[in-house]
Amino acid sequence: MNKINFLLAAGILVFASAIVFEPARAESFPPISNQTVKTECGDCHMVFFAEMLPRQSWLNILNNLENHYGEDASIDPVSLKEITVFHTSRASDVLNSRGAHKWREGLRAGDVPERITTAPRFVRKHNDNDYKRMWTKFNLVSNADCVACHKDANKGLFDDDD
Amino acid sequence: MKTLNKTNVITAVVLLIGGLSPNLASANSARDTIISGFSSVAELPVSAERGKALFESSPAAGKPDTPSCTTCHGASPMTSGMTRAGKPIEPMAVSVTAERFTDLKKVQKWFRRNCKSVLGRECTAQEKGDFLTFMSSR
Ligand code: HEC
Ligand code: HEC
Ligand code: HEC
Repeated sequence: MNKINFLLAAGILVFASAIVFEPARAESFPPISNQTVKTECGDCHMVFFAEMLPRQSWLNILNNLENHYGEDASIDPVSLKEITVFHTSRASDVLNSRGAHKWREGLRAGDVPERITTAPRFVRKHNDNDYKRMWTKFNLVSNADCVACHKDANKGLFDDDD
Repeated sequence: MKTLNKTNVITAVVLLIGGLSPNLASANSARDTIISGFSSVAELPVSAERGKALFESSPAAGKPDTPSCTTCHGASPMTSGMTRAGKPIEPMAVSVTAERFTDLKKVQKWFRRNCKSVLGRECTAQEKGDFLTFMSSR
Protein backbone atom coordinates (compact mmCIF):
# COMPACT_ATOMS: atom_id res chain seq x y z
CA MET A 1 0.00 0.00 0.00
CA ASN A 2 1.68 3.21 -1.08
CA LYS A 3 1.15 6.58 0.49
CA ILE A 4 -1.59 7.70 -1.89
CA ASN A 5 -3.56 4.52 -1.44
CA PHE A 6 -3.17 4.79 2.28
CA LEU A 7 -4.41 8.37 2.32
CA LEU A 8 -7.31 7.41 0.12
CA ALA A 9 -8.25 4.54 2.39
CA ALA A 10 -7.98 6.71 5.46
CA GLY A 11 -10.11 9.35 3.79
CA ILE A 12 -12.81 6.86 2.94
CA LEU A 13 -12.74 5.48 6.44
CA VAL A 14 -13.19 8.91 7.99
CA PHE A 15 -15.98 9.70 5.55
CA ALA A 16 -17.74 6.40 6.18
CA SER A 17 -17.51 6.66 9.93
CA ALA A 18 -18.88 10.16 9.75
CA ILE A 19 -21.96 8.71 8.10
CA VAL A 20 -22.29 5.73 10.40
CA PHE A 21 -21.51 7.44 13.67
CA GLU A 22 -22.97 10.86 13.10
CA PRO A 23 -25.79 10.56 15.62
CA ALA A 24 -28.62 11.78 13.46
CA ARG A 25 -31.04 11.95 16.38
CA ALA A 26 -28.59 13.18 18.96
CA GLU A 27 -29.89 16.10 20.89
CA SER A 28 -27.45 18.94 21.32
CA PHE A 29 -27.14 22.22 23.17
CA PRO A 30 -24.52 24.92 22.74
CA PRO A 31 -21.90 24.39 25.49
CA ILE A 32 -22.20 26.91 28.32
CA SER A 33 -19.52 29.59 28.23
CA ASN A 34 -20.80 31.98 30.92
CA GLN A 35 -18.05 31.82 33.55
CA THR A 36 -20.26 32.82 36.49
CA VAL A 37 -22.77 30.08 35.69
CA LYS A 38 -19.95 27.57 35.29
CA THR A 39 -18.34 28.35 38.63
CA GLU A 40 -21.51 28.81 40.68
CA CYS A 41 -23.65 26.01 39.26
CA GLY A 42 -21.07 23.36 38.42
CA ASP A 43 -19.53 22.29 41.73
CA CYS A 44 -22.21 19.87 42.92
CA HIS A 45 -23.48 18.58 39.57
CA MET A 46 -22.96 19.28 35.88
CA VAL A 47 -24.08 22.72 34.75
CA PHE A 48 -27.61 21.97 33.55
CA PHE A 49 -28.85 23.44 30.31
CA ALA A 50 -31.26 26.33 30.70
CA GLU A 51 -33.19 25.09 27.65
CA MET A 52 -34.51 22.16 29.70
CA LEU A 53 -36.87 24.09 31.98
CA PRO A 54 -39.37 26.91 31.48
CA ARG A 55 -38.72 30.42 32.72
CA GLN A 56 -40.89 30.15 35.84
CA SER A 57 -39.09 26.98 36.96
CA TRP A 58 -35.76 28.79 36.84
CA LEU A 59 -37.16 31.76 38.75
CA ASN A 60 -38.44 29.44 41.47
CA ILE A 61 -35.13 27.56 41.68
CA LEU A 62 -32.92 30.65 41.64
CA ASN A 63 -35.02 32.54 44.17
CA ASN A 64 -34.69 29.71 46.67
CA LEU A 65 -31.03 28.67 46.54
CA GLU A 66 -30.78 28.59 50.38
CA ASN A 67 -33.07 25.55 50.22
CA HIS A 68 -31.80 23.87 47.08
CA TYR A 69 -33.05 20.27 47.02
CA GLY A 70 -32.04 19.83 50.64
CA GLU A 71 -28.88 21.96 50.59
CA ASP A 72 -27.75 25.54 50.96
CA ALA A 73 -26.49 26.64 47.52
CA SER A 74 -26.86 30.38 48.09
CA ILE A 75 -24.67 32.83 46.18
CA ASP A 76 -23.86 36.53 46.23
CA PRO A 77 -26.52 38.88 44.77
CA VAL A 78 -24.41 40.07 41.84
CA SER A 79 -23.73 36.55 40.57
CA LEU A 80 -27.35 35.61 41.20
CA LYS A 81 -28.56 38.40 38.95
CA GLU A 82 -26.27 37.39 36.10
CA ILE A 83 -27.23 33.72 36.47
CA THR A 84 -30.93 34.57 36.51
CA VAL A 85 -30.67 36.59 33.29
CA PHE A 86 -28.73 33.75 31.68
CA HIS A 87 -31.27 31.07 32.59
CA THR A 88 -34.48 32.98 31.98
CA SER A 89 -33.34 34.20 28.56
CA ARG A 90 -32.52 30.64 27.46
CA ALA A 91 -35.50 28.90 29.08
CA SER A 92 -37.47 26.27 27.13
CA ASP A 93 -40.44 28.59 26.65
CA VAL A 94 -38.28 31.60 25.75
CA LEU A 95 -35.42 30.55 23.48
CA ASN A 96 -36.12 29.71 19.87
CA SER A 97 -33.82 26.71 19.38
CA ARG A 98 -34.28 23.05 18.52
CA GLY A 99 -33.31 21.95 22.01
CA ALA A 100 -35.62 24.41 23.75
CA HIS A 101 -38.50 23.39 21.49
CA LYS A 102 -38.04 19.74 22.43
CA TRP A 103 -38.14 20.47 26.15
CA ARG A 104 -41.20 22.68 25.71
CA GLU A 105 -43.15 19.76 24.22
CA GLY A 106 -45.55 18.17 26.64
CA LEU A 107 -45.65 21.16 28.98
CA ARG A 108 -49.15 22.53 29.44
CA ALA A 109 -49.75 26.21 30.14
CA GLY A 110 -48.95 26.85 33.78
CA ASP A 111 -46.81 23.71 34.24
CA VAL A 112 -43.77 24.56 36.37
CA PRO A 113 -41.60 21.43 36.79
CA GLU A 114 -39.41 21.56 39.89
CA ARG A 115 -36.74 19.47 38.25
CA ILE A 116 -35.36 18.57 34.85
CA THR A 117 -35.84 14.95 35.86
CA THR A 118 -39.58 15.51 36.33
CA ALA A 119 -40.03 17.52 33.11
CA PRO A 120 -42.12 15.66 30.50
CA ARG A 121 -39.27 15.12 28.04
CA PHE A 122 -36.99 13.60 30.65
CA VAL A 123 -39.71 11.28 31.89
CA ARG A 124 -40.57 10.15 28.37
CA LYS A 125 -36.94 9.43 27.45
CA HIS A 126 -35.99 7.62 30.64
CA ASN A 127 -38.75 5.19 31.46
CA ASP A 128 -37.45 2.02 29.83
CA ASN A 129 -35.28 -0.92 30.85
CA ASP A 130 -32.12 0.58 29.30
CA TYR A 131 -32.31 3.34 31.84
CA LYS A 132 -32.85 1.01 34.78
CA ARG A 133 -30.07 -1.27 33.60
CA MET A 134 -27.57 1.60 33.31
CA TRP A 135 -28.63 3.03 36.65
CA THR A 136 -27.82 -0.27 38.37
CA LYS A 137 -24.65 -0.89 36.37
CA PHE A 138 -23.16 2.52 37.19
CA ASN A 139 -24.32 2.35 40.79
CA LEU A 140 -25.89 5.81 40.65
CA VAL A 141 -27.24 7.90 43.50
CA SER A 142 -29.10 10.54 41.50
CA ASN A 143 -31.12 10.90 38.29
CA ALA A 144 -29.41 14.26 37.92
CA ASP A 145 -26.06 12.53 37.34
CA CYS A 146 -26.55 12.89 33.57
CA VAL A 147 -22.80 12.62 32.93
CA ALA A 148 -22.68 9.05 34.23
CA CYS A 149 -24.76 7.86 31.26
CA HIS A 150 -24.21 10.66 28.74
CA LYS A 151 -20.42 10.95 28.58
CA ASP A 152 -20.56 14.15 26.50
CA ALA A 153 -23.32 15.83 28.48
CA ASN A 154 -21.02 18.69 29.51
CA LYS A 155 -20.45 19.43 25.83
CA GLY A 156 -24.20 19.53 25.33
CA LEU A 157 -24.48 16.16 23.58
CA PHE A 158 -27.18 13.70 24.59
CA ASP A 159 -27.02 10.76 22.28
CA ASP A 160 -29.83 8.27 22.67
CA ASP A 161 -27.60 5.25 22.19
CA ASP A 162 -24.46 5.72 24.24
CA MET B 1 19.45 6.45 25.16
CA LYS B 2 22.99 7.75 25.41
CA THR B 3 22.31 11.46 25.55
CA LEU B 4 20.04 11.11 28.54
CA ASN B 5 22.74 10.37 31.08
CA LYS B 6 22.48 10.60 34.81
CA THR B 7 23.46 14.27 34.98
CA ASN B 8 20.80 15.18 32.46
CA VAL B 9 18.15 13.31 34.36
CA ILE B 10 19.14 15.01 37.57
CA THR B 11 19.11 18.40 35.88
CA ALA B 12 15.65 17.69 34.49
CA VAL B 13 14.34 16.64 37.88
CA VAL B 14 15.83 19.69 39.55
CA LEU B 15 14.32 21.96 36.91
CA LEU B 16 10.95 20.27 37.33
CA ILE B 17 10.95 20.66 41.09
CA GLY B 18 12.25 24.20 40.73
CA GLY B 19 9.39 24.96 38.36
CA LEU B 20 6.78 23.48 40.66
CA SER B 21 7.82 24.64 44.05
CA PRO B 22 7.04 28.36 43.60
CA ASN B 23 3.40 27.34 42.97
CA LEU B 24 3.40 25.12 45.98
CA ALA B 25 5.05 27.78 48.09
CA SER B 26 2.55 30.42 47.08
CA ALA B 27 -0.35 28.00 47.69
CA ASN B 28 1.02 27.32 51.16
CA SER B 29 1.45 30.98 51.96
CA ALA B 30 -2.04 31.83 50.66
CA ARG B 31 -3.47 29.11 52.92
CA ASP B 32 -1.40 30.25 55.89
CA THR B 33 -2.73 33.77 55.46
CA ILE B 34 -6.30 32.48 55.45
CA ILE B 35 -5.73 30.38 58.56
CA SER B 36 -4.07 33.27 60.45
CA GLY B 37 -7.04 35.43 59.51
CA PHE B 38 -9.33 33.05 61.38
CA SER B 39 -6.98 32.32 64.27
CA SER B 40 -6.35 36.02 64.93
CA VAL B 41 -10.00 36.48 65.89
CA ALA B 42 -10.51 33.04 67.48
CA GLU B 43 -10.73 32.66 71.23
CA LEU B 44 -8.31 29.71 71.56
CA PRO B 45 -5.23 28.78 69.57
CA VAL B 46 -6.37 26.75 66.52
CA SER B 47 -6.29 22.99 66.97
CA ALA B 48 -6.16 20.16 64.42
CA GLU B 49 -7.66 17.91 67.09
CA ARG B 50 -10.84 19.98 67.35
CA GLY B 51 -10.92 20.31 63.55
CA LYS B 52 -10.91 16.54 63.26
CA ALA B 53 -13.74 16.28 65.77
CA LEU B 54 -15.80 18.80 63.81
CA PHE B 55 -15.17 16.94 60.55
CA GLU B 56 -16.18 13.59 62.01
CA SER B 57 -19.06 14.74 64.18
CA SER B 58 -22.67 14.22 63.22
CA PRO B 59 -24.47 17.24 64.63
CA ALA B 60 -27.50 16.69 62.35
CA ALA B 61 -28.64 20.15 63.37
CA GLY B 62 -29.08 21.49 59.85
CA LYS B 63 -30.81 19.99 56.87
CA PRO B 64 -31.98 16.36 57.18
CA ASP B 65 -30.02 15.01 54.19
CA THR B 66 -26.66 16.38 55.36
CA PRO B 67 -26.06 15.28 58.97
CA SER B 68 -22.24 15.56 58.76
CA CYS B 69 -19.32 17.00 56.78
CA THR B 70 -18.50 13.41 55.90
CA THR B 71 -21.87 13.00 54.13
CA CYS B 72 -20.24 14.61 51.08
CA HIS B 73 -16.52 14.71 51.84
CA GLY B 74 -16.36 11.02 52.78
CA ALA B 75 -15.10 9.44 55.98
CA SER B 76 -11.43 10.21 55.29
CA PRO B 77 -9.88 13.52 54.20
CA MET B 78 -7.38 11.48 52.16
CA THR B 79 -9.93 10.07 49.72
CA SER B 80 -12.51 11.55 47.36
CA GLY B 81 -16.03 12.33 48.42
CA MET B 82 -19.22 12.65 46.41
CA THR B 83 -22.02 15.19 46.25
CA ARG B 84 -25.63 14.11 46.66
CA ALA B 85 -25.98 14.58 42.91
CA GLY B 86 -23.21 12.03 42.28
CA LYS B 87 -20.32 14.33 41.37
CA PRO B 88 -16.91 13.39 42.81
CA ILE B 89 -15.27 15.82 45.29
CA GLU B 90 -11.46 15.92 45.44
CA PRO B 91 -9.94 14.87 48.78
CA MET B 92 -9.84 17.65 51.38
CA ALA B 93 -6.37 16.81 52.74
CA VAL B 94 -3.82 19.37 51.59
CA SER B 95 -1.17 16.66 51.12
CA VAL B 96 -3.40 15.10 48.45
CA THR B 97 -5.05 18.16 46.90
CA ALA B 98 -2.39 20.87 47.04
CA GLU B 99 -4.59 23.76 45.90
CA ARG B 100 -7.09 23.34 48.74
CA PHE B 101 -8.07 26.39 50.85
CA THR B 102 -6.07 28.95 48.90
CA ASP B 103 -8.88 31.27 47.77
CA LEU B 104 -10.50 33.14 50.65
CA LYS B 105 -13.72 33.86 48.75
CA LYS B 106 -14.16 30.19 47.90
CA VAL B 107 -13.34 29.10 51.44
CA GLN B 108 -15.84 31.55 52.97
CA LYS B 109 -18.58 30.64 50.50
CA TRP B 110 -18.37 26.93 51.25
CA PHE B 111 -18.07 27.36 55.02
CA ARG B 112 -21.19 29.52 54.91
CA ARG B 113 -23.20 27.00 52.88
CA ASN B 114 -21.94 23.78 54.38
CA CYS B 115 -22.04 24.90 58.00
CA LYS B 116 -25.65 26.01 57.49
CA SER B 117 -26.50 22.70 55.82
CA VAL B 118 -24.83 20.59 58.52
CA LEU B 119 -24.91 22.68 61.73
CA GLY B 120 -27.90 24.86 60.94
CA ARG B 121 -25.77 27.97 61.56
CA GLU B 122 -22.61 29.64 60.32
CA CYS B 123 -19.31 28.30 61.68
CA THR B 124 -17.28 30.48 64.05
CA ALA B 125 -13.79 31.71 63.17
CA GLN B 126 -12.54 29.20 65.75
CA GLU B 127 -14.23 26.29 63.98
CA LYS B 128 -12.98 27.44 60.58
CA GLY B 129 -9.41 27.82 61.81
CA ASP B 130 -9.53 24.42 63.53
CA PHE B 131 -10.95 22.72 60.43
CA LEU B 132 -8.35 24.20 58.08
CA THR B 133 -5.54 23.38 60.49
CA PHE B 134 -6.69 19.77 60.58
CA MET B 135 -6.90 19.52 56.78
CA SER B 136 -3.47 21.16 56.41
CA SER B 137 -1.98 18.56 58.77
CA ARG B 138 -3.27 15.74 56.55
C1 HEC C 1 -24.11 23.04 47.10
C2 HEC C 1 -24.30 22.17 45.99
C3 HEC C 1 -25.10 22.71 44.81
C4 HEC C 1 -24.89 23.86 44.10
C5 HEC C 1 -23.80 24.91 44.30
C6 HEC C 1 -25.92 23.90 43.07
N1 HEC C 1 -26.71 22.79 43.16
FE1 HEC C 1 -28.27 22.32 41.94
N2 HEC C 1 -28.58 20.61 43.01
C7 HEC C 1 -27.85 20.19 44.10
C8 HEC C 1 -28.41 18.96 44.61
C9 HEC C 1 -27.91 18.18 45.82
C10 HEC C 1 -29.50 18.63 43.77
C11 HEC C 1 -30.46 17.44 43.91
C12 HEC C 1 -29.90 16.18 43.33
C13 HEC C 1 -30.89 15.05 43.52
O1 HEC C 1 -31.91 15.21 44.17
O2 HEC C 1 -30.66 13.97 42.97
C14 HEC C 1 -29.57 19.69 42.77
C15 HEC C 1 -30.50 19.72 41.75
C16 HEC C 1 -30.61 20.73 40.81
C17 HEC C 1 -31.61 20.75 39.75
C18 HEC C 1 -32.63 19.67 39.49
C19 HEC C 1 -31.97 18.45 38.90
C20 HEC C 1 -32.99 17.38 38.62
O3 HEC C 1 -33.13 16.45 39.45
O4 HEC C 1 -33.66 17.49 37.58
C21 HEC C 1 -31.42 21.91 39.05
C22 HEC C 1 -32.21 22.36 37.85
C23 HEC C 1 -30.31 22.61 39.67
N3 HEC C 1 -29.83 21.86 40.72
C24 HEC C 1 -29.82 23.82 39.26
C25 HEC C 1 -28.76 24.50 39.86
C26 HEC C 1 -28.33 25.82 39.47
C27 HEC C 1 -28.93 26.66 38.37
C28 HEC C 1 -27.26 26.13 40.28
C29 HEC C 1 -26.46 27.43 40.31
C30 HEC C 1 -27.19 28.62 40.69
C31 HEC C 1 -27.06 25.02 41.20
N4 HEC C 1 -27.98 24.06 40.92
C32 HEC C 1 -26.07 24.94 42.17
C33 HEC C 1 -26.76 20.83 44.64
C34 HEC C 1 -26.25 22.05 44.21
C1 HEC D 1 -28.99 5.91 34.13
C2 HEC D 1 -28.57 6.48 32.87
C3 HEC D 1 -29.09 7.86 32.47
C4 HEC D 1 -29.09 9.01 33.21
C5 HEC D 1 -28.65 9.21 34.66
C6 HEC D 1 -29.59 10.05 32.34
N1 HEC D 1 -29.89 9.53 31.12
FE1 HEC D 1 -30.61 10.54 29.49
N2 HEC D 1 -30.84 8.81 28.48
C7 HEC D 1 -30.46 7.57 28.93
C8 HEC D 1 -30.84 6.58 27.93
C9 HEC D 1 -30.60 5.08 28.04
C10 HEC D 1 -31.48 7.29 26.86
C11 HEC D 1 -32.05 6.72 25.58
C12 HEC D 1 -33.56 6.62 25.64
C13 HEC D 1 -34.12 6.28 24.30
O1 HEC D 1 -34.38 7.18 23.52
O2 HEC D 1 -34.26 5.09 24.03
C14 HEC D 1 -31.43 8.69 27.24
C15 HEC D 1 -31.93 9.71 26.46
C16 HEC D 1 -31.80 11.07 26.75
C17 HEC D 1 -32.18 12.14 25.86
C18 HEC D 1 -32.77 12.00 24.48
C19 HEC D 1 -31.68 11.89 23.43
C20 HEC D 1 -32.26 11.75 22.07
O3 HEC D 1 -31.56 12.06 21.13
O4 HEC D 1 -33.42 11.32 21.96
C21 HEC D 1 -31.89 13.31 26.50
C22 HEC D 1 -32.06 14.72 25.98
C23 HEC D 1 -31.35 12.97 27.80
N3 HEC D 1 -31.31 11.59 27.92
C24 HEC D 1 -30.98 13.89 28.75
C25 HEC D 1 -30.59 13.55 30.04
C26 HEC D 1 -30.37 14.53 31.09
C27 HEC D 1 -30.50 16.02 30.93
C28 HEC D 1 -30.02 13.82 32.20
C29 HEC D 1 -29.70 14.36 33.59
C30 HEC D 1 -30.63 15.32 34.16
C31 HEC D 1 -30.01 12.41 31.85
N4 HEC D 1 -30.40 12.28 30.53
C32 HEC D 1 -29.71 11.37 32.72
C33 HEC D 1 -29.81 7.29 30.11
C34 HEC D 1 -29.62 8.18 31.14
C1 HEC E 1 -23.82 18.60 50.78
C2 HEC E 1 -22.47 18.21 50.54
C3 HEC E 1 -21.41 18.79 51.46
C4 HEC E 1 -21.38 18.78 52.84
C5 HEC E 1 -22.38 18.14 53.79
C6 HEC E 1 -20.18 19.47 53.22
N1 HEC E 1 -19.50 19.90 52.11
FE1 HEC E 1 -17.82 21.03 52.09
N2 HEC E 1 -17.90 21.12 50.05
C7 HEC E 1 -18.82 20.48 49.25
C8 HEC E 1 -18.57 20.78 47.87
C9 HEC E 1 -19.37 20.28 46.66
C10 HEC E 1 -17.46 21.65 47.84
C11 HEC E 1 -16.83 22.33 46.61
C12 HEC E 1 -16.10 21.38 45.73
C13 HEC E 1 -14.64 21.33 46.00
O1 HEC E 1 -14.07 22.27 46.57
O2 HEC E 1 -14.04 20.32 45.64
C14 HEC E 1 -17.06 21.84 49.24
C15 HEC E 1 -16.00 22.64 49.64
C16 HEC E 1 -15.69 22.92 50.94
C17 HEC E 1 -14.68 23.87 51.36
C18 HEC E 1 -13.81 24.73 50.43
C19 HEC E 1 -12.66 23.92 49.91
C20 HEC E 1 -11.57 24.75 49.25
O3 HEC E 1 -10.73 24.14 48.56
O4 HEC E 1 -11.52 25.96 49.41
C21 HEC E 1 -14.68 23.88 52.73
C22 HEC E 1 -13.81 24.75 53.62
C23 HEC E 1 -15.67 22.92 53.16
N3 HEC E 1 -16.26 22.34 52.06
C24 HEC E 1 -15.94 22.64 54.50
C25 HEC E 1 -16.97 21.80 54.91
C26 HEC E 1 -17.31 21.58 56.32
C27 HEC E 1 -16.57 22.20 57.52
C28 HEC E 1 -18.39 20.74 56.35
C29 HEC E 1 -19.16 20.23 57.56
C30 HEC E 1 -19.58 21.25 58.53
C31 HEC E 1 -18.73 20.45 54.95
N4 HEC E 1 -17.83 21.09 54.13
C32 HEC E 1 -19.80 19.68 54.54
C33 HEC E 1 -19.85 19.69 49.70
C34 HEC E 1 -20.20 19.49 51.02
